[in-house]
Amino acid sequence: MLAAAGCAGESPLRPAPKLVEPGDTGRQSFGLRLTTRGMPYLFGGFSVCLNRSGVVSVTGVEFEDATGDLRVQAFALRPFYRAFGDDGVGWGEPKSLKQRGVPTALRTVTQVCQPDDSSRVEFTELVLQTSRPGAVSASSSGFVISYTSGASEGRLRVPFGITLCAPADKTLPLCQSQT
Amino acid sequence: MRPFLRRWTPLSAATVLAAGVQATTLPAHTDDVVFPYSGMTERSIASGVVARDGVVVRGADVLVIAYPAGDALDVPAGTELSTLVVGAASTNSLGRFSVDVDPSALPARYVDDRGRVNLQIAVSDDDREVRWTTTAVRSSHATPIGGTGELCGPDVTHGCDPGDPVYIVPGASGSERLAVVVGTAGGRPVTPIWSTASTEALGASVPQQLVVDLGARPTITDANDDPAAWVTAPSGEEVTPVPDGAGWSPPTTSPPAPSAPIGALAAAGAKQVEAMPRTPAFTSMAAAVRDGSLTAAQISAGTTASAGKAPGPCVTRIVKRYNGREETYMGVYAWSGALATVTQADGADHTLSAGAEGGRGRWFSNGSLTLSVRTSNSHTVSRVADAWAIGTVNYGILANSCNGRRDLVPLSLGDPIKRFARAYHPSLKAQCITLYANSSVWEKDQARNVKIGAGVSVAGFSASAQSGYDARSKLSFRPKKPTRLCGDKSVGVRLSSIVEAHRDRSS
Repeated sequence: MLAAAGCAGESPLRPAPKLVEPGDTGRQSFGLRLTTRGMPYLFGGFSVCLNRSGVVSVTGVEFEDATGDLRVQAFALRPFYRAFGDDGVGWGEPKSLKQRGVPTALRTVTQVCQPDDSSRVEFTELVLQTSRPGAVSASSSGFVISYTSGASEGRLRVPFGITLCAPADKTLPLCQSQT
Repeated sequence: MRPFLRRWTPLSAATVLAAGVQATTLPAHTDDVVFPYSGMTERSIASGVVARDGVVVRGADVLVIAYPAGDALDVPAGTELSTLVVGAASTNSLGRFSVDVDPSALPARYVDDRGRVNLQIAVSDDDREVRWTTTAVRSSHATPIGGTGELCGPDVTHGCDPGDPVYIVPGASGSERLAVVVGTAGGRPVTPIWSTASTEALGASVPQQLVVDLGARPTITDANDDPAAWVTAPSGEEVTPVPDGAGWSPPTTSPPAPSAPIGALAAAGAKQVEAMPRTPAFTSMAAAVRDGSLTAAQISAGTTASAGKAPGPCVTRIVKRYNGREETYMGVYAWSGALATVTQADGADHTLSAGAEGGRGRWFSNGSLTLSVRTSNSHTVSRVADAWAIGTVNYGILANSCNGRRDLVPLSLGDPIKRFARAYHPSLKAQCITLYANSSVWEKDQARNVKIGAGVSVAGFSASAQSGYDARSKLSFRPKKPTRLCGDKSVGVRLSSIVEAHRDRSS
């Protein structure tokens, strides 16, 4: 009985919320084919939310399979209660979070994922700041968000690859003239 | 309390809301076929609930029959397909069934190189049967099912429709919920080894979940694939990739209509199936249990295949082939400053619906099979704009010698990018991201594509088509001019199933 689901969901044994991506998850890759060494680049528009009500604290974001010493320099969380529209941070904006005016103090997510057909929209945008530190191209296959939820720890893998190409290094697939 | 119960449609007629499930259970039939019932286990390959006009049926019988896989299915007309009963079950007092299959018991010809198995699931009550076609894939996610409070099940029956889930499983994405309509064996949590292509794409491994109604208007519903979400693919004139160095502008002729949901009537029609006379396969398997050539222990252990039982005296033969039928499967929405590249590499998956012949030559949809692009056919096409990608698929009519049943089944994929036909360029505004000219490249793979409700037309049957489940199917943009990349989901381009590129008018 559906009412029983609600009762069960409110039991003391209810698991802690998990951080998830809402929508059609899948692997994507984005490459900036011409980057400046040491220049900060922003990657935003990554929506995350909770699979049930509660709160999680994001403790870190790290790239997966990083090459060229690609690292997350800083990250920000921005709550949204409407569609992104034009307000999300794009991919590869050549700015730092500070230059873009994005505050970095918030470290918690409380927005609960809503069904696709719901009129209610709520999620948190994750924005990453990174750069290419060396003379070679740098890349990652995705990133992992680490968080705590109640007494437990969790990790959300986001399979969004980022490649920052160096002018003289075309070894990575997205840095070549054709993929 | 139904906000997440949106990916399935419970049976609506003759509900048992007031009386509760058990009080209105119907017996299935009077013969002596009784297969074991167990709840879902880790070896469950298909589960479901059987009803008649909305009232659950106790003692309905289910046989899971394997068809040859891979090249063994793609055989000439006239060839007999040796099929094998790989699982059986009867429904319990709540109308639930779950069929176990141990993969180690399956002969090689029934398993493709990725461990997938093509199945027909036959469900029968007194004197009729309906069938559902599906490809069981091996799980790639460790998805626990059960172990928490049941929504509907042995301990909670009041207020449950037959199709209501016992468990709800979250996919990788927070807004997707998958239904499991059968309780686990002994209420213990299980991690399934079998799954379906569609649930895999949602980041969870859940075996086929069926809601079967053998009533006056027989229906079968995949609890995790609502046809209301399928879309149309209106196409216009044939278009070709833009030659290197040449410019592109939209044709001056009127575009075709936009893609849209297939509509309530078509969605309801997609659930209807044709009930046929009950085949002797059921009584033949019951006789095997009686004479000890197949034991209840084997059935429960999922090793039914080891008994080597064909479905009774019935023989299935490919009686006609329809080769090279066009399959529309991917919309590509681009502009002159950012033309798209489509890749269909070796192993890219396409899920295509199967049909069963009804009266007056009408075909009813009854499930689907998942096929892969072959190495020799894989290729990439660049510089595409506003087009539907169209490949080819080979279908065959399979005839059953016992009841004359004829199924229209996809046998293999041909050229995955045969041609392109003009598509309406949608205007998406849920989120847009700027791609810089000559400096950025975006690729989308391993993502779920939309399901085209009439992606293939063959022998008067409109079959659904879906691709994009796999890293081998890819769409990419490499803009030459500032471009806005926009998605259909309010949560962003990253999580949108439909994406379009257009000129960045701010630059």
